Amino acid sequence: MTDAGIETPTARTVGSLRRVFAFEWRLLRAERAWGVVALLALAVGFAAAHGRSWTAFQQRAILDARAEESARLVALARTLDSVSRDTSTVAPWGDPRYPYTAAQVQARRYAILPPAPLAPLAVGQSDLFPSYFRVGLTSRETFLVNDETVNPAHLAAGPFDLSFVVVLLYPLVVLALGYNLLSAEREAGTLPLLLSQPVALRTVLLGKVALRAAAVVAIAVGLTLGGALVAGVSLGAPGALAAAGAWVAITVAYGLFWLALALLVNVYGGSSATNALALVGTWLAFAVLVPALLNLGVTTLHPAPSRVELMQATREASNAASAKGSAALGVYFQDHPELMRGGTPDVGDFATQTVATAEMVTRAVQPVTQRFEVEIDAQQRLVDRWQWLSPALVTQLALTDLAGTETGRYRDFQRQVDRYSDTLRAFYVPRITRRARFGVADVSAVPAFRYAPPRPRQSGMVATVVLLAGAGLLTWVALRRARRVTAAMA
Amino acid sequence: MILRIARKELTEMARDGRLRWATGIVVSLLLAALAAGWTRYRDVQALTVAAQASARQHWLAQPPRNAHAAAHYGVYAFKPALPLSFVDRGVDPYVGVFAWLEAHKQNDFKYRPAQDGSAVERFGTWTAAAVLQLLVPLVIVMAAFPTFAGEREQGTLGQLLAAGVRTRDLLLGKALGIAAALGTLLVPVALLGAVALALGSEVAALGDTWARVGVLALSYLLYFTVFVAVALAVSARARTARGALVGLLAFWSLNAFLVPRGVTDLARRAHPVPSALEVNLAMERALSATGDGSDARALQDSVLRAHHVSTIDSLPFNFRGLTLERGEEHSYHVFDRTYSALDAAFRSQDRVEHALSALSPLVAVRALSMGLAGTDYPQHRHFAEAAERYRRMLVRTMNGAVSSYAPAGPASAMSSDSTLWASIPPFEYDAPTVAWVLGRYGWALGVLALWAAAAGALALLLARGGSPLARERVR
Repeated sequence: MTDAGIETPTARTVGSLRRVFAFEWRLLRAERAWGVVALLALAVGFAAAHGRSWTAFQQRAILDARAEESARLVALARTLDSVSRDTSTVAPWGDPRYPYTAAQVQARRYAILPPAPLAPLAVGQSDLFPSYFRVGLTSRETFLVNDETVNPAHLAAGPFDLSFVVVLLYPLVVLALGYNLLSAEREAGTLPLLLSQPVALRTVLLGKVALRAAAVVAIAVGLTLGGALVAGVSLGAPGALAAAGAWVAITVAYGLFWLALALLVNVYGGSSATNALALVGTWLAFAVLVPALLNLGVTTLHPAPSRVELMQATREASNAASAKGSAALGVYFQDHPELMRGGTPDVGDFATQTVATAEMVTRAVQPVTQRFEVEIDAQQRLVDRWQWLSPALVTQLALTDLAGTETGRYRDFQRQVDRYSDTLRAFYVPRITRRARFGVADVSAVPAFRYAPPRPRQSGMVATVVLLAGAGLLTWVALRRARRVTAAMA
Repeated sequence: MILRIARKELTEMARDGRLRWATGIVVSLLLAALAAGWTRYRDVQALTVAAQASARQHWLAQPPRNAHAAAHYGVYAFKPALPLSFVDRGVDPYVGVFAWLEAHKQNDFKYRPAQDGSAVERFGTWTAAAVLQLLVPLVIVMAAFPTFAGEREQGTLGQLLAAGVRTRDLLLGKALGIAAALGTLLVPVALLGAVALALGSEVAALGDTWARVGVLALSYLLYFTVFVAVALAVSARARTARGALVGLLAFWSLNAFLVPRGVTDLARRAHPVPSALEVNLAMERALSATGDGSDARALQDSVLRAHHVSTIDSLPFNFRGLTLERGEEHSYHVFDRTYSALDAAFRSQDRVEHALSALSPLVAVRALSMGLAGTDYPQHRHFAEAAERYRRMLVRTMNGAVSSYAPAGPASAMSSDSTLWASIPPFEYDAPTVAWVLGRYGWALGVLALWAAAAGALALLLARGGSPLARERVR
């Protein structure tokens, strides 16, 4: 209000806005909408506790792996030391002085993917893809199997983690708060009364939406912080705070999108029941139908070759390689003349033969493995491009990205392990072919795996912007429509 | 009277635009899912049959070699796809597709197909089972929420009751109307699926498949009955149609999303399993426990004494065959212990889930559906165990051949040829019968029947007395 007691239009709008806000607050409280929010809080606690226990399970496995490895290496050094004095202490086939034996048994190393700080918030793909490999000299097709012991029925059902709560349950809460924000007034007969007051429908709507938007933001912040607290996320870890901030931003944007949708549906003026059905139908489409149909499309357009096929190719290649026998070795040394320099290799040597055969097999099945890479990459690209069809999918992908449990991180890890496996081979193979002896000094010289985190993808930021833009667009359409509704009513 | 009410409900539903749209979408999604599942099944089946044949060929085509080398070469077992897997893929994307059957080792099944997919796969695979379990109930909710509550709002309920219509007839008539609507939508689709099944599977396996189809149909029928009854009960109790709808949607999401996911986590924490690393390390330790040779020495001494000879070369058989077989037998204990412990843990987890099906009929129908489609974990284990028995038979035969070699002599003399390879029968797998499945999932049928009975009784109770309906009658 101005000093002269005359209300300017803007001041009047702000005043009515404030009053609508206050009334709505009282109404929402009376409607026991907070029961729904309390249920959500319960789900958040449950999900966060689950995320915490799952990440602890994984971390324990990683610690066990590290402990096993260092104990094994200490034992190896001791064995090497004692065997140099007395050869009868080990069986000939277990003699670690043969580099091949050392590489395959006692000196095997682990390649470990450490969980990201926000990992307990989204299980993502971490129950499906292994986060550690024990790498020996065998070809990559065989070491790529280290599945975690998880009940397959649980993998099929999916985890109850915080990302599930955000992506699927939280929209339902938002919709419960907003599905009848206008239709309830219409059904109670208070809408004409309201509109007979000197207030625009848009202002009423804005007030109602603003209150609910504030609730959405509060829920998003509370959900993330509470979840992080229960899940035992240490926000002090490098990058954790930024990731948690991005998590909040995505959650807010996602919630606002659903609120805007509820507003739009309300403005188009069905009964509360119709609105509820339309909104739940949309929710189902975004959360279940679109992802499932996208999966169907992606796997139809770019089917990954069957692993059965890869296995057959491997089998045939190894049959061929062993049929060629020493000829395979000849081919091998044609390709690796540098290995000949150390002296004439013993063609009958089992280890040399095995290494040569393995390399031949790897090369022979390369076309098939390549097809896997190509098709799976193509699938991923399609998903990245079409994820925008479903805000639920966008949010899920962005959240798992922040938690470091999305498919891409695991694929990148596997590629790093592949490269590491090459490094190991480059270390061992010359020693094997030269028939060098593996000594105490070599134990610490074996290259160790070092995980190099990929560049952050910023997908959280893009998702937030797109979702907010979507929410803005829906609100704009709704408010434009509301003006016409008011005109019609007047 | 009941029929007339049913006809009125049907007419009303047919006129409801919302419902027409929803059912149209659901039926086309169901058809799409069936078609996609069917092509997938055909592809996987063809690939598996070809792979199994070529694995057999590889085995037979081995050059003359030591029988133990042949055991090391081994064969592969491929998991066949069962015909009904096109309805419900169950855990198939999350269990391995083949195992290498070789000497000394019981290999696990490798390569979960989901690992070769993208993240959207985890939102759920598109199968007929998903449509039947998630979407059809939603359609039922849409059709049934206004049945009583809507009439009450319009005031027609009081008129009906005043005209002397019995509440039981009213309830049955409305239920019949919804059932008839569902039937006209789903029966043709089911028949279409049955025709596809009959055309595409082998005649020999069909008898049991039809039994599975029958029980599957019964399960879903019970599941839908539960939803119709719950929807009518809620509608009879609610003051307004809106209230009925909100309550039913809450039940639907609890049933479809919250409980099924929640139970898996409760189960996992109630019965934790060791990590893969722990399992593998423990297995390696147990297997190498006898690697120190003391057992081998004792065995040799006792065998020499029994045959009254002083060296193994003078035994009437090749001693190596015996030590190999003893080694295998030791490993059997380790494998059996390890895998049965894991299996038992998974089974206890499943039992926790089963108990919680009292909260969500979906948990029961999901288990039944997977079980009858043959895509549940117990049937995966059934196959894995059959493969393991075959492996043991194969390795034992090979060890027997090694025993029959001359006790001493050049390595080149210790060799077998294709007659031995051909003496191993091809690997054949008989899927469990429907009786086996029902032995495991009888409880789920019981739970569904209980749910249906309880919800039906509740609907009747609420429609009759102690409900706003009764007040209607008074008024």
